[in-house]
Amino acid sequence: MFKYIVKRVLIGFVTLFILATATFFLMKVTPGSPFSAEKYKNPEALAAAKAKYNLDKPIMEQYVLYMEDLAHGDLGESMVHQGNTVWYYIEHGFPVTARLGVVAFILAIFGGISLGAAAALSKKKWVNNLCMVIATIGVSVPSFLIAMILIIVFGVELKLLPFVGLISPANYVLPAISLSLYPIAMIARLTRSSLLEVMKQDYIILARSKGTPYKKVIIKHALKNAMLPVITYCGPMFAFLLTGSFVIENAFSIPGIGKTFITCVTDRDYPVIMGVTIFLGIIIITFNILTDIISAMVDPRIKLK
Amino acid sequence: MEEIKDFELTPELFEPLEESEKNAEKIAYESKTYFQDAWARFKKNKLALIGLCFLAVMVICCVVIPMVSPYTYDGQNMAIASQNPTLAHPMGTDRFGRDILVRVMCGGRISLSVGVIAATIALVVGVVYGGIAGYVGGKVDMVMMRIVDCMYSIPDTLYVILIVVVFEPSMFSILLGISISSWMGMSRQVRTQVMTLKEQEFSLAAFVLGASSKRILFKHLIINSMGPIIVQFTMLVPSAIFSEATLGYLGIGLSVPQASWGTLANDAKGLVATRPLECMWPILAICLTMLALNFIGDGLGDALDPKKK
Amino acid sequence: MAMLEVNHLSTEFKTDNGIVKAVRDVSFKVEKGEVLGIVGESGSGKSQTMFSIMGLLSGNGYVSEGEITIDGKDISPKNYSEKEYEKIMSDIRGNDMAMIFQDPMTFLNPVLKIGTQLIEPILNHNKISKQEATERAIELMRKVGIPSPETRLNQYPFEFSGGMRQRIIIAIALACNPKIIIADEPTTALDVTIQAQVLDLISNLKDELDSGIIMITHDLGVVASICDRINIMYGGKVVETGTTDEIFYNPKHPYTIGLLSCISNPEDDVKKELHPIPGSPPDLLNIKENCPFADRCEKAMKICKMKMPEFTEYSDSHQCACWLSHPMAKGKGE
Repeated sequence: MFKYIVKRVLIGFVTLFILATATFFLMKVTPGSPFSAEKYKNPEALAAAKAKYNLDKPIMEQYVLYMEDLAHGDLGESMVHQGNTVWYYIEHGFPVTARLGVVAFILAIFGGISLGAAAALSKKKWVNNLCMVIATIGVSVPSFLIAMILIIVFGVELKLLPFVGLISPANYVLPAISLSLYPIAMIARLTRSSLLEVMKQDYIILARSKGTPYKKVIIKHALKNAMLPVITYCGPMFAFLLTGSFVIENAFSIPGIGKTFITCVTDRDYPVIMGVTIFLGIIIITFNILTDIISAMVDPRIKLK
Repeated sequence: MEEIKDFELTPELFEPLEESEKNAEKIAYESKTYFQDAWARFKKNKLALIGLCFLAVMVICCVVIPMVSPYTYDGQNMAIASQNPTLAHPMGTDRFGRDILVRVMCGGRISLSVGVIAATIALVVGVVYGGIAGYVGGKVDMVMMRIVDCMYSIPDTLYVILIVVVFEPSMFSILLGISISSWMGMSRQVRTQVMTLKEQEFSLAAFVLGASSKRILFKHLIINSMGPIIVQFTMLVPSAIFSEATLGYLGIGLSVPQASWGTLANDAKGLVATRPLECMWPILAICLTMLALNFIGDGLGDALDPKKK
Repeated sequence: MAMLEVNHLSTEFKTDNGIVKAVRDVSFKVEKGEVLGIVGESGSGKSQTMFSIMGLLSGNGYVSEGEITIDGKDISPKNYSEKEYEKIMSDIRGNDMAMIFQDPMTFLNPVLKIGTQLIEPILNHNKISKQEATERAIELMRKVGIPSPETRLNQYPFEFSGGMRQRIIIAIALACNPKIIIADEPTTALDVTIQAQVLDLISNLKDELDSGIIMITHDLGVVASICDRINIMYGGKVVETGTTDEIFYNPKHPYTIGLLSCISNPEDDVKKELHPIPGSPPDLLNIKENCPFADRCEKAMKICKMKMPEFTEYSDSHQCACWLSHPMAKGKGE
């Protein structure tokens, strides 16, 4: 188990290194810069600004300097709002995103598993079909459209729920639903297909031949096996929730890290784009590793591979 | 079997049966090719058929309507700005007096072609990459797949946004971004397929007959993994449309006046409170097309998977 | 009274192409302490007969007709509602009647410890603590010949070899001293050397317990060594039934004769030519009510393609369903 974790963490670092390198060079080949604004008409000020961000040095040196800073946890400083470090943006934006993400995560897990289990196990055909229709809508319709539809219906027409910002608990309802509908649908589909697959396995027959009642067979023998693909999906799902926040925070005017990121993209504020990308990368990679460890704990066979 | 229930036993009945009257090796089922069989199963899936019809209608509309309509997607006419649906403008007009129907259909041209082109690029790259990794195997495969693993763990949206930022929003950068972020799934799938098929006897037979590796890989292995590849492809199209629409919505997609469905949705964002009907059209177009594509994908998935027979 | 009695059992499967009649009008009895062999090719309905009795048919299968009684208790599915049947059967399965399965690699749950899986039937049918159940499990493992059961208990199936897993499956079946043990090709998926060990184990257990054992196999060698009586099945029907001696030394049905001429015996002095049966087993989809073997039978007559023959009794224990035994067919069989 320990060896397995070490291996996964090492791969994580490699991924992160590649991500950081790729982002760095991508940003360097980008035409245009945030310094083209009015206040840099003076060539001296421009030179000073460039020097501050090491832009006057050769590109490989810049790369080495950036990686050194990164190793110390220093993500640099905004080019547009000078004086604001990248960490400042992350500290302000991420907790908001994380809160919404956690709500959506819980919603996705519970909603998805119950929907999928109902679709797989219910003997009533309409329950079956209804679950699958919801799941198909969930994977088909982009989250910003769900958000718009929810805003139109519950916010504007019915005036039931607030849809700007993230102030009161009621504010969480619409964004969390729009954000989690896709993962709910994915988990429902995964749960359904893996449950159906597991129920066909020979060991379910053996369990039933022991006289274990049907419901207990499902809980004890089928669910644990059927949950494996769902657990594996949790890593990518977390990544989805984070990047999904780009859109949802935009739609509901929530001041989270996603909104910051998009603003910086439009402003071409390179240090913040790089910093936030790497930060999100770290979070996602960490979650992928956690997911792998949990699956290894549930499925004893993985450790050997 | 009414007629043989009570019949008389006569000595003739105990005559030996002619060899020709026996059918010991009879073939019970009509033989069908893989794709005939798949089509027969696909036809049984009503949702998938409806999806296919809807998609066909949508494609025809997107091609034909902007050609025959008297309006163009950027022709402004302030005199008829912000109208509700009328006979002349079945979906109404926007705040510049542009015909929404034509704009939505033009948007459809862009969104659908982005979807198909990006998915095709991802298909080609994924098949070649996965095919090589699976066929060569060993260390090459390990390195190639580690790279895919690394790329896979970073979400698509990040790639697409970063690449669009670097190359300025344009058809090219959007296609590049989407293709780069979506070929990995395909390559994994193809690799697994090729690796299983490679072990099967028919590849060995082809090898013994002196076929070259290239021929074995493309003629035998890839053709035999066609089913999963097609299914994966039908799933790539909607996800590419999805990514493009998201970009458009975030305001970093194609720039005005060229409008895709995502850009249209972004335009309509400000009107949610005042003219909800106007922003419903692009939303409806995307939702229904995505649903149709997903139903087709699910239907094909069931139809092409021989295990589900 | 017989421990297990099956009368006119028929099982069907609904498929897209029509109804598959997997088991057709099968009747037999198993007495206490007796081993009944059921022999047939794959697809002859022998396993489905057993799954029907256990009530473990897969989703699209159902028992369409017939009565089943175990130790006097009626367990025919048609006499109960679905819910009642499930309830009755969860008391019977693993307790009165247990099954040993074919493939030890797929029948154990890969994510549960061996101990958990072995204790489960004990706890299902006995009101005892987990501690006592564990002790009993260890005892069972010892009985089926698993070394150091205390440590093995905490391992997962993938840490066991095929033969060891089959022993575990046997131990699970024995957990509650069932009255009937159904062994569904218990040696088919094993290596030859392991096969012999497992067969040895089963025949030792046979002497030790006084359960009735049903041994399903397509290997006549296996039945010869441990079975008291044999049913030959073909195309979902029992075509011949008799004691082991009767079947081996006085086979009546052309199919039984065909099967016997397919066995090679290294002890034979004369080099014997093996006679394979031409053709393949019938397709059970929408099958007609005639002799299923007619198409492959060397001695087939016109009547064979028209009507199913009745059973002819050769002795109290020996019966055969073939038109050749009809008086009008005299001399045709030679």
